[in-house]
Amino acid sequence: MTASRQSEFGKARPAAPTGLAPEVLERLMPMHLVVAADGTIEQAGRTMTRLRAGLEGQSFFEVFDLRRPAGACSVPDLVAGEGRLRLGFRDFPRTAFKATAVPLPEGGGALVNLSFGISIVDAVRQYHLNAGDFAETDLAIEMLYLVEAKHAVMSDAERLTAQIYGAQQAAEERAATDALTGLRNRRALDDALQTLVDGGRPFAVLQMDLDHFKAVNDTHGHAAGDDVLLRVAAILSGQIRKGDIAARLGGDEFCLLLPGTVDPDRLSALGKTLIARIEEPIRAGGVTCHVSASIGVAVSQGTNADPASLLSRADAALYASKHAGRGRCTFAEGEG
Amino acid sequence: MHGLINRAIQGFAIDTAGPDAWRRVAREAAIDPNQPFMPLMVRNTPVTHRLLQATSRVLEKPAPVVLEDLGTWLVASRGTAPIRRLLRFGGETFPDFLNSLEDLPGRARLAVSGLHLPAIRLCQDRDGSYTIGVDAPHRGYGYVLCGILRALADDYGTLALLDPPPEEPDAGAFGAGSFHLGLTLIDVSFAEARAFSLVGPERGE
Repeated sequence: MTASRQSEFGKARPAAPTGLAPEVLERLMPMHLVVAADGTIEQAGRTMTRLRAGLEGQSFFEVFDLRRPAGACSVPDLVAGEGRLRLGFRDFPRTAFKATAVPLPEGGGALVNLSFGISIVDAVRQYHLNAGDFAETDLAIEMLYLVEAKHAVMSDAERLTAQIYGAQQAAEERAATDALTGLRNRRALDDALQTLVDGGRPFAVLQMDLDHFKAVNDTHGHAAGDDVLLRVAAILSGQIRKGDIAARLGGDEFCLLLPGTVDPDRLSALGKTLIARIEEPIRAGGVTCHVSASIGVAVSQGTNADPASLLSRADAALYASKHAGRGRCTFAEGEG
Repeated sequence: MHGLINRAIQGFAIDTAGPDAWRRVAREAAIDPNQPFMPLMVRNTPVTHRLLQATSRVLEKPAPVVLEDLGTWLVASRGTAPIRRLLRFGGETFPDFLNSLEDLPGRARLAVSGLHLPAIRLCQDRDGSYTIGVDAPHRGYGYVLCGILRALADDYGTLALLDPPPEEPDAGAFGAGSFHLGLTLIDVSFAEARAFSLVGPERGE
């Protein structure tokens, strides 16, 4: 009876031993196979034919690799128990299927109804399937709709997450930044100092106070004072290296953290350079201002360091500079 | 009103009239122009109404026209391609799509669980033409649907005549009340349909 079969859907064909005309079976189950008792595929639904041409006449067991029940190699194996099958094509693409096999009323063959299961998205892409390839009652199209909807919503959510992350970073950036000068603020300095102490590597703390700054504010006003602070911030930023931290702690107090820089000669040279640059006349709102700076330096060799005591040692050295006549750089006693 | 709806109005205003026009719309509607609408955040309905009224004034178009253009934009613009694809799942042909129209609110809710669209009723008259009813309370959805159907008919290559109701001054495009739209199919295969496949291009992970 295979010889007389026509593959076009809708044309009259002899009834298969299922008791249903092939075109009826096809409308209900476009992915069915009728397998004869010897394992030969006698009839294939139109969607199966779209996946592999010429299925009819081939051996079911040569076309498919049976994963469950494992080792099934005959039609009685297929229909044993509840006939629940897991299988895949032996050749590429090795599309996976779920299937149900039921024994035919006569002749010892089986009717096998296949479905893509979770591999449906890949299968539709690989075989260019469309809505007509699925039974009207199959939820495949709704499933693909949901996959599409999920992708649309997810990509929107990803974009939004990136936006929110960016906004959060910007907010944290502002929270860690001194609003006037753009240097780090005290909070950021404390965090960085703690990180350096935890890291256990040598570093230096350089505390700096401007000299004669109050006079600028009193004589020329706060706008001129702000210009001076901005200029000083620019000088500090210009003198530090990547990885160093420059912070304004408030008023005319500044602080530098210098990881890896503990050589007294280099620190002393840096202090002198900073003071010299700051002592250059600063044009601020139409007037010329003159300020200087006092600096105190404390060095940590990285072991047993304590943030508070480091800062207070640097502070003490700073006051020593002030007492010694300002415009100079003093090193703290001992090491921490 | 769902955040996606506010965001659609924002996207439409920016796409069709430019960012400056959007800033004017936002100012008139008393919302922050730099703050994009969160798609999944539900805002009060009055915000949406203010937005639509402001868009209508800035674009100098009556509200029903704005809403219809918004519907067309949802289907036809590049940025909203996923919406066009989701709509095309409604059917293989335009008549198939019309027959699935009553499922549209359910489909929308399936995609985005908080998105509630009004119920749609489809009646086929004896002469083969359709009447599409959109339930109260937001008449505006009817005009948006009208724009969607125009653009989708194009997408399917179908020639269809749409007959939206005349604007009723007391009902208003934003007012309550139901909405009835007439639709006549002239030629189902008038032009080539835009390509549609059940799965989109593979996404890079």
